[in-house]
Amino acid sequence: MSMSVKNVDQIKATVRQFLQRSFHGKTLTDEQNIFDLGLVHSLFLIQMILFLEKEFGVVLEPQQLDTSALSSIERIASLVCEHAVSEAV
Amino acid sequence: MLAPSLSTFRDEVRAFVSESLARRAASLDAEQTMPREVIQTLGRSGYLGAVIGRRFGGQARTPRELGVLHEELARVHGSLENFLTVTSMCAVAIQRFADPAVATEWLPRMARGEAIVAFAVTEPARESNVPDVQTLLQPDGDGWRVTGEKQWISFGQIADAFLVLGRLNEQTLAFFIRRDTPGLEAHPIRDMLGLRGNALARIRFNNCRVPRGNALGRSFSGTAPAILFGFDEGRFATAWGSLGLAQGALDLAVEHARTHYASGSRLCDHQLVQQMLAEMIVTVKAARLICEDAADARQAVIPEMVGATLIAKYAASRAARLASDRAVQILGARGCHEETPASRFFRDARIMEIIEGTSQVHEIQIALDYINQSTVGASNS
Repeated sequence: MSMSVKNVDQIKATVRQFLQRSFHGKTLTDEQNIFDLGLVHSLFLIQMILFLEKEFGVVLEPQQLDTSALSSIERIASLVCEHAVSEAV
Repeated sequence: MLAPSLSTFRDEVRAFVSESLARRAASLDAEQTMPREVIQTLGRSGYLGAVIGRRFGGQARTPRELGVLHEELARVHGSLENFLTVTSMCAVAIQRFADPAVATEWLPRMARGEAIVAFAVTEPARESNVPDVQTLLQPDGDGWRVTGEKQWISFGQIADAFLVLGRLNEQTLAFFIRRDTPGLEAHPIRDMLGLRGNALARIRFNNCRVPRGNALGRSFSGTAPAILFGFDEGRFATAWGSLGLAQGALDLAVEHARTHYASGSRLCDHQLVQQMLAEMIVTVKAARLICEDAADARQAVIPEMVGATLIAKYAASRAARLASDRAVQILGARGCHEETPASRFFRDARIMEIIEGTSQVHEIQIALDYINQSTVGASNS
């Protein structure tokens, strides 16, 4: 799986690029809550889930998908890393 | 131009609906319901499992195949098509978010037409504002109790279970509930403008028990992801269903204009009729290309598929309204009577602009998507 060779910084950079493309080029910090920005409609969540699964080759489990797990670049990168580790084991 | 494999599939679907469903479908409006035997016939074809994975007994069709299926069903009856839409919305959510025990029990039966699941999100007081849901969940041991009301629920009269959006504290939670749960009531709603075979109902939950295993994912601030995935599937399906109504109306108008006369010449030789036909032809063609674009984005499973689907549903439902309106005009009095499907196309098309998000909700989302992704003027904001 391609994920196993990516480190957290690479994941953050990829996620940031995706979010900035969707957020009008807005600069985002790792910790900034993206849902608090009020820039997107509700369906953006599906777009983000599809992006993460496609880009990192992971399947996000329903029990891991909650608001906080997807709220910032930092947390998204952690979620993807957990998957990468568990799927590589 | 359809690829050969899609063309074969279309012929197969068209032959099935015309031989097995068309005659029966003609009386669905008068009956104002979707009889079990019609659903079972649809189930025997396997098409009800179109979005369901093979491990659950489904057909796992490609987006282009789904498009063909919805278009062909809608040409015969909008409610037949919408039954597949609702089944698919629920199936997508269950497949991705439900406990394996729920998925294993229900998905194969849904695919066979033996179990009906309805998508219960809309409420009497808040028809479009999903996050403000007032159907309340209260903790109850290892699960919850739910109290509240859902309105305008397609196939709610005949459903064996419901996929529901509720509120848990300040978040939303999607859950599955069986119809035979004590305290659950379904009250029929009749005499709708269109999709009269949809057997709508108002659903009341009076302190109904929801086991923890019936949750679809975790609670979420904003709309629960299971519901969002359901809506996304519903919009794609409704786009193609709308296209089916539009194409059906166009075909009907052309046939009528070729075989009927006014002032001594065929209707199709009158330039004002040609003008209406040209408008229909171009609108339907444009909607078809937009629907195909959405299907291809979904095939690639890219984030852009969500926006492409919104545009397809918006464009195709408007195309259906225009095409069915012109078909009624070209058919004249016949178009206003149930002896032809023109009036049904017209009424059903109107519903397509309201279900799975109104055209106005789509306009907001389409514009936001474009504005957020456009680089034009970005440096000034």
